[in-house]
Amino acid sequence: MLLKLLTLADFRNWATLEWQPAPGLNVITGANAEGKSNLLEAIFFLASGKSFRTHRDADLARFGSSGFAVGARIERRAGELSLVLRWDRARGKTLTLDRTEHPRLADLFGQVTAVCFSPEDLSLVKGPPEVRRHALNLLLLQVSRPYYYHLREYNRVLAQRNAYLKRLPPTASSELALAVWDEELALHGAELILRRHAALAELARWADERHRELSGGHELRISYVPSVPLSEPATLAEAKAAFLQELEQKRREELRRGITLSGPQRDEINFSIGGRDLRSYGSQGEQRTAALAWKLAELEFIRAHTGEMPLLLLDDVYSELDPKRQAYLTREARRGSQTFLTSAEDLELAFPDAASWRVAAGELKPH
Amino acid sequence: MYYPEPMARLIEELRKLPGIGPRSAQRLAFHILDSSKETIERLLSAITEAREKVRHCSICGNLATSDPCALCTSAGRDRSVICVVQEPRDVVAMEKTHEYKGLYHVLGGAISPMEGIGPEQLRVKELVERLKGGEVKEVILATDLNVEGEVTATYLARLLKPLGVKTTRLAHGLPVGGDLEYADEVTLAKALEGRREL
Repeated sequence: MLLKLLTLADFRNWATLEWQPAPGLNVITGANAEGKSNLLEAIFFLASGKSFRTHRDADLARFGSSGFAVGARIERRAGELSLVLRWDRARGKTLTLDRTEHPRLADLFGQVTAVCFSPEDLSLVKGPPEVRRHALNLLLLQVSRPYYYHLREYNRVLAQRNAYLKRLPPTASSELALAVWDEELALHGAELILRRHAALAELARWADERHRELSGGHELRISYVPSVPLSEPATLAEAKAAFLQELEQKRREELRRGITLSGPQRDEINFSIGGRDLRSYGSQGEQRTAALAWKLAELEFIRAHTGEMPLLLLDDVYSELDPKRQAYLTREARRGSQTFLTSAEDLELAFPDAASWRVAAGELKPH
Repeated sequence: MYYPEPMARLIEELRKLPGIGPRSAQRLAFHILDSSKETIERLLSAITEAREKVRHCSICGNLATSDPCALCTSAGRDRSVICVVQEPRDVVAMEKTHEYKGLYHVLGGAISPMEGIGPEQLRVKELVERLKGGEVKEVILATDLNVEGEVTATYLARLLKPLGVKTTRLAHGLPVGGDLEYADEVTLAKALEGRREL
């Protein structure tokens, strides 16, 4: 996949931008706060409909403007496509594909695929579980429309079920309406559990491979710990039955606390080396290497599922790595079809053959 | 900029309507001021008449000018089938097909705890009441295909089961005239799930 043109309007610090990046490796340098990362953030926004730095779309609009637009022309094996994702306060996000407005934002997913590695990704290993679930969601919705659908429906059911639980007295017993919410929750929940299970098995294998190369042979284990216990391999019906049973067991506590206590919103993903849990007992270096291995596994995952290499976005991470990992990342960056790397330092010596760009005073210029 | 007081009041009233923001309200107000007296009188009488004459049918809950409504009293309708929908506009959609000849039941919404809507806030009791006569053999659940609509349909199906009435759900699936290759995986999976024997 190639990004041939990126256009921005009122996105972060960019009033307007029209940029034709080069195929292969693009190195973007510039002082801090000039807007290098914002370029990568815009590209990732096209892949996932979300920023990797904020949950609020309003944060992405340039100071003083009421909306923004990110547009791109991309070249894929299936042909060229132009897309524009706009946001404004009144209408929210709207998507245009090849000049036709698409009513469903879901049509965005899978058009542009990208893997982003930024300083925030250190928390992938040491942060709270929702960081890992979020990373997995952002990856899976790029390759699977059904995953996005079930995730969206699940979250809606969860919100409704929680609202219902809050209203019920703790003494309530066999409520028909609650049984119906259980049914709907388990239906979408089981889909998510099985899809996460399968995806993590694949990701874990690739991440381990990468990790061994990065760390000199140490085995990295990434395991899925679903909140609903599952004897593998399970069918959809079995997963759903297990979910319903779990809800039944926690019924009394859920009624007492007024909140749903099991399901994918409580899943965990564990990272460990030789049986040692990295979240609690890993050094910062180990955590960083494991996060890097996960990100490189994401590349393989997307390639395996779409048949094309995704865009690789390396935001300010290069200079934080030691020379050995830098060399490894450089090799990976060249392997991809297109890579975007930002750095505050000049990297011309490290990448003499890369397309080099410089951001200064609100402009992006060849360097 | 300040409008003359009557104009400001008109804008304020229009803004209270659903889907009307400040800008739309201004545009509508200017349009009204520019309209002829007759046009405005027609609009006013249409509003007053609709408000006075349109009510909910006490049997099916649909909007009507008589109670019971023309659909409920029509001799030409099949009284053994009831189609359950969320809103009066869904009745209009079904009627446009000219395919359905049975009766309707308008719930007035869907179960949504976040908005404080449970079965008690919907016309569920009235539906159960209608089924007691034994005349009705089938209930078609035609609520929306979103989370709230699905939950409402499942709830009703379970509630009505002991009454011995057959309950059916509208099929989800491919649009008519749609090519299989352009259907997304979710739609296709749903269509597969709801396949029927030929």
